[in-house]
Amino acid sequence: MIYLDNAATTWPKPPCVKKAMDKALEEFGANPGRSGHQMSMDTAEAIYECRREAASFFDAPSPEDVAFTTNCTHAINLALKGILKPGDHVVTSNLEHNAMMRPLETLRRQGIPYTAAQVAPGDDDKTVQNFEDAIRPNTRMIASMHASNVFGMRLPIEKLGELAKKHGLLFLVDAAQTAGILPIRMQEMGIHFLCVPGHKGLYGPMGTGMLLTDRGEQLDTMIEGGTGSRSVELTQPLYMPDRLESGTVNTPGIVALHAGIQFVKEQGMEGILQHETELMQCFYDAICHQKAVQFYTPRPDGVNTLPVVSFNLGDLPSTEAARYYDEEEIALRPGLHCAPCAHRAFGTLEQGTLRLCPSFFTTQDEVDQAISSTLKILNKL
Amino acid sequence: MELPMLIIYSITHAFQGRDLLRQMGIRAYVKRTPRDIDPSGCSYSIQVYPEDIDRAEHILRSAKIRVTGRHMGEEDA
Repeated sequence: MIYLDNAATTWPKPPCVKKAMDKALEEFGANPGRSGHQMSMDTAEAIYECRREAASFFDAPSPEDVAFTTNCTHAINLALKGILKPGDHVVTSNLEHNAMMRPLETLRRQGIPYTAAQVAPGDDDKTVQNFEDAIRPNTRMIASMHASNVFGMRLPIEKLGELAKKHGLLFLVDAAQTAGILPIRMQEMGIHFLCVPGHKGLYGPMGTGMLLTDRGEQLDTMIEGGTGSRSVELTQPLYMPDRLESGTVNTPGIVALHAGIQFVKEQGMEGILQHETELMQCFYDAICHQKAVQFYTPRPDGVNTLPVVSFNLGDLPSTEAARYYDEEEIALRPGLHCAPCAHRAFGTLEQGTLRLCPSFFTTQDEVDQAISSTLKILNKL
Repeated sequence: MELPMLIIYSITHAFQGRDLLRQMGIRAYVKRTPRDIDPSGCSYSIQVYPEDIDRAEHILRSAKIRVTGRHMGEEDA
């Protein structure tokens, strides 16, 4: 099977990630931060090492600013629902994933409206202007994805961070598609809440994610419980990361995520991005001239568009087209990709699109096979 | 031998404080605070040598790592 659904979850995982998870199950089996015995202390130290690595990787002020979550969606929910209050207003983009839109819609019903600013493809200044035009006197936050999970379009988060600073707003970034692919420097970019999945570009296992924030102590909590600290008190600790981490954490996942981050550092994000971009350019170039093929974004360049391509084959529903690929043993993602807003913006809400995304481990041979299969499927239409 | 320990409210901050002290050339170790020492219930402490205790506490407080008290604890073998 040729796996090209890496925008959802990268696979395979690096051997070091598998080894780290195995080691964690063998050696870090005790609850971290709960006891004083050696295995508990060793486990706590392993968790802390990942926290420290993540803080450094994303330029968070301190390891305590890293809260482990189950995924990026969890992190977005913690941040949005923790900081926003009735009467606040949020500016977001018109390409957001439901990880952003569903909590925003829930908050809208609680008296926290949002405005979706239009992203202008290839025109960052216009995009920023659209965001600025959407700011109201009661706007509290700009909450934006770093890149579209459907079309790979990159949003100008550096400029949006400057805009947030100019207007005294909080800035949240959904880095689901970019963490481990593009450099993200929280402090330099003025990001107050960085929401990150562990299982995509960081090559960690599913069930891992992080919320990085220096505003954790200001967040209302969604979950309270045991933290291994100040246990006499019945109220949740105010300080991070305990404030956002109740109950036993996913130690094997976190230890493996640490290995994933180290893997990305060793390989280098620039090299990974170049490799994936070249593969997607190859795919794009090979089939873009086919009459029935429709792409929705320019050729991926790794600058304005990430190596994620969305396309359709004639009028064939994307879910049906994906079945043909499945018969060819090629795994890609059809449908709406949990991002109806993005599909509405591109006019693909009905048909959906076929999304194809490589990883560090994708080979030229695999992409060549995907090209051959595409041409074969086109011949059937 | 008993050594002085600085009580820190969470294990993350205890590790963070330990690393900071080590960077400053102070030998430091994280240990769980004995229950009878810490009225808050659960916490961890950073153990240092007697000659470093005042400097260590100053460094931690300067780094905004909250120190909630001092106590004496057994040195690790």
